[in-house]
Order: sequence, then structure tokens, then C-alpha cells
Amino acid sequence: MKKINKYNLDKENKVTDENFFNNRRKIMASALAFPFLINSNAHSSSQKKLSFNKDLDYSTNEKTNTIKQITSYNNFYELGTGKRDPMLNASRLKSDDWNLTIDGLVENPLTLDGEDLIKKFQLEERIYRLRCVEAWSMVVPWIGFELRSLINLAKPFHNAKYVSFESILDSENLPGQKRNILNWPYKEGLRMDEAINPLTMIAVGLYGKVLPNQNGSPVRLIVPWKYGFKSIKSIVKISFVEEIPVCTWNEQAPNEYGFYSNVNPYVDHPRWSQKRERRIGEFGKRDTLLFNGYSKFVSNLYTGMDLEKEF
Amino acid sequence: MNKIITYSLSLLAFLYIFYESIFNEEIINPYSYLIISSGYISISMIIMVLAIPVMFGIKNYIDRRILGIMTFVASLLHLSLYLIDNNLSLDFILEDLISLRYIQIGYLALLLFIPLFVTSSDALQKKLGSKWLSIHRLIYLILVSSLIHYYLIIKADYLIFSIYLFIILSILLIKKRIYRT
Repeated sequence: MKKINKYNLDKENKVTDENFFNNRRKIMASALAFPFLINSNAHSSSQKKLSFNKDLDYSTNEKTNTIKQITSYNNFYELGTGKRDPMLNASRLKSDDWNLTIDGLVENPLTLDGEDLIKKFQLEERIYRLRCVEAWSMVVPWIGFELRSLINLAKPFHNAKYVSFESILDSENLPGQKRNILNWPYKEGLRMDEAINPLTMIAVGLYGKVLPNQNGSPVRLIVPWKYGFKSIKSIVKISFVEEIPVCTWNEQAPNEYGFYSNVNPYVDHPRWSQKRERRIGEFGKRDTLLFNGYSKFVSNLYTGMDLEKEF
Repeated sequence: MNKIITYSLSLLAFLYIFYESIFNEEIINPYSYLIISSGYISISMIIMVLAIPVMFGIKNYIDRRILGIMTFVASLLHLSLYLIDNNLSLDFILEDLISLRYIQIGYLALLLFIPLFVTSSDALQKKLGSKWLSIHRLIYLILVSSLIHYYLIIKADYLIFSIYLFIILSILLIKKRIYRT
């Protein structure tokens, strides 16, 4: 029998039991006597478990989305542009033998392999809101470490003003890279003060296990106060640079996706509204919060800036 | 008989998406699925209305006028789903209408449909004579506005849109050929 948690009591139990949620429609379907609807579950539970602490300073108490929702509704164009494509094509991303190179204006350039990524730093679970530029959102229990621990290790020089990130380029295997939908490889960037903000995280896991491929295995960025596309997936290179780095969506449509791309309900996308969002699993829409509700931690980064111009 | 076939086919499309949105556990965002798929159904039905006269195998089984009416119903369903998704809030809906181009064009397509719907009866067709045909040529304008409405919300991948465009252009070319001869 599957254990069904009630989510009251303590924080741990607020993370809804994934088995129950994975099976909620099956339970409903069998209750309605539609046994022919039952199909197998796509999410494997064979992935490696991680050991980690639970963070209490930055995590939200909101109900987390289920592993099923988080792993089968993704924007990861390297694996296809449909929301289900990244899950269906997940095996096309070769995430074994990974190397993450840290270079540029640093005293201590280094390369981390897959083992380093989960062993070198004390991992912690952070439950963050994620707001997509397409006006939907989720609450996700990431596992990882603060980007600033990695920055402290690399020791950037004073003239390093920005951090630039680059994703995997593998047009032979990645179905999305067979077409020039975007200018591959995917690139993103942060200003140095954004990169060392304690909220900014390098994630290597999700729901207690290593990242599923469709969520950006084996290593990705999480910047919870910015639209989701800033949180670049499957990173192979982090460079410290002096000039503002190229960011893929900004390059694609500079008037629609700014370098900062902070979540901001007062600055609409030129073609659609950013005032509200659909939290996946909820009916109707809720208001979008400035900086995705993380103003307390990040609004000081932008004092004196006109957020309508520098969006 | 043709009427029944046409009604059933259209209703089947609607039933299918509602059924999927409720029972298909792979659909993570069912409201968005319903809005998007009702949009695809509406555009596809507009294309079918235009294509029926040259689809020789099928045209004898489809009542083109009923298909047109059901296309209007599909578009209304698409609109209603969008309104419900915006919590039926007049503020939200007006805000969108004032500021968003793709929403404005969507409403335009629906408005253009109204004269076609109103004049769809046999009696009015007889009464209006040649005017009836020019009113019903509005379907081309409806198709163009629907396509712009769709085009404006694509983020980067234009593949499916291009397939739609290819199909539409092929149908129009075939029609032109046939009517000339």
C-alpha cells in the first residue's frame, strides 16, 4: 500500500508525498471504474539519492509541486519545444562524464566533474518559487549549493564584472539542436553582485535525488527572482568576464527579453501580460509578485535603476 | 444524415479535449491545454470549411453550413475558456483587451464571425441573394485574423505554424485551379 501523507505538522511533511500525487488520477480513474486508463509512470525512482541539509532561511513554506509536474512540464528547447518533449527525449542528453569548466578572469580556474559537483560542497535543499516568462509558476525543492561558494573557490579578479554561463552543445544527440530555433549553445549571464547573492544557487538535485535530465542534469543555475529562462540548464562552462555577456533569449528578441529579466508584474512582455500567473495545479490565476516575492533579498541590487528600461 | 455526422464529429473534438484534460494524467497544465487545443480546433475547422468543396471523398458526408456553425461554437468555447482562466474578472479581461494585440485580433476574428452565424439560415440566404456570398467571404478575413492571433503568441518555434500555413496555401491553390477550369 502507498503511504499517503497529510501535509500539516512540520515542514518536511509539507512536501506532498510524491507517490500519492503521481497516482492521484489513477486513484480517481480506478474509483470511476476506468481501469483501461491506467498507464505506467514515466518517472523512474532509480536515480541516485543525495545527502543534504534542509535550508530554512530562504525556503518558502508553500506547497511544492509534485515530482511528476516538475519533470513532465518543462521548457528545455535542446530536448524539444513542446512542454512534454524534454521528458520524452530525456535520454538524449548524455549527462555522464560531465565536466564543468570555470575560467576567465579568475585566480583559480578549475574543472569539476560529476562526482565533484555532488561531493565538493555541502548540499542543501531549498524550496523556491519558479516563475516562467510564459506566466506559469511552480514551487520546487531544489538541492544544491550557493553559487558564491563556487565563486569563492575560483577567486575572480576585481575586473570580473559579470558571470557568463554556457549549456551543452551536442547537435548530434540533442533533438532541439538539429534546428536553429535558438542560437546554440544556450547562454546566460548575471552581474557579479547578482551571482554572489545568497539566493543564487547551483542545483544538482531535485526531490532528494540527482537532477533528472529534463530539469537540466547534472548541473544548473537557479535564480528564483528572475524568469525561469535565466536559470540555465546543463551547464558546461562558467566564465568570469568584464563585459556584459551574451544571453540567448536576449539575443533572439532584445525588445522582449532583457539582460536582467527580473520577475516584474509592472513590466509586461510586449506580447503578453506578466501581471498574473498560473501556479501549476491551481485553478485560475494568482497575482505575480515583484522579484517573484524575493524583494527582501534582492531589491537592493537594483536601487536607482529604472526597471522599465532595464528590464 | 450529413447534419448528424457533422455535429457528431465537431462534438467529438470538444469531448476529446475535455476528456483528456480531466483523465490524462500526463497533462500537467489542463487549463492551458484546453485553451490551446480549442484554439487549434477552431483554426483547423476554419480550414476545413474552406477545404470541404474540394475534398471529393468527404464532401458528400459533411454539411458545410453546420460545420461553419460548429466552428463558431468552437471559437466561442476557446473564448469562454480564456475568460474562465482569467477568473472571469472584468478588470483582467478589459486590461488584456486594451493592451494586448493578440487578444484584440482574437476578438476581431470572433466579431467577424457574427454576420456569418446570423445569416446562416436558408431563408436569409435566399433573401440576401448575391449579398449572402460576399458576407460569407468574410471567412477568409476570419482565417487571416486567427492566424495572426496564433502567430503573435509563438515564442521561437514556428514549425507547426508553418505547417498550418503550408496546408492553407495548398488548399487555396487547389481551389483556384478547380474554379478556373
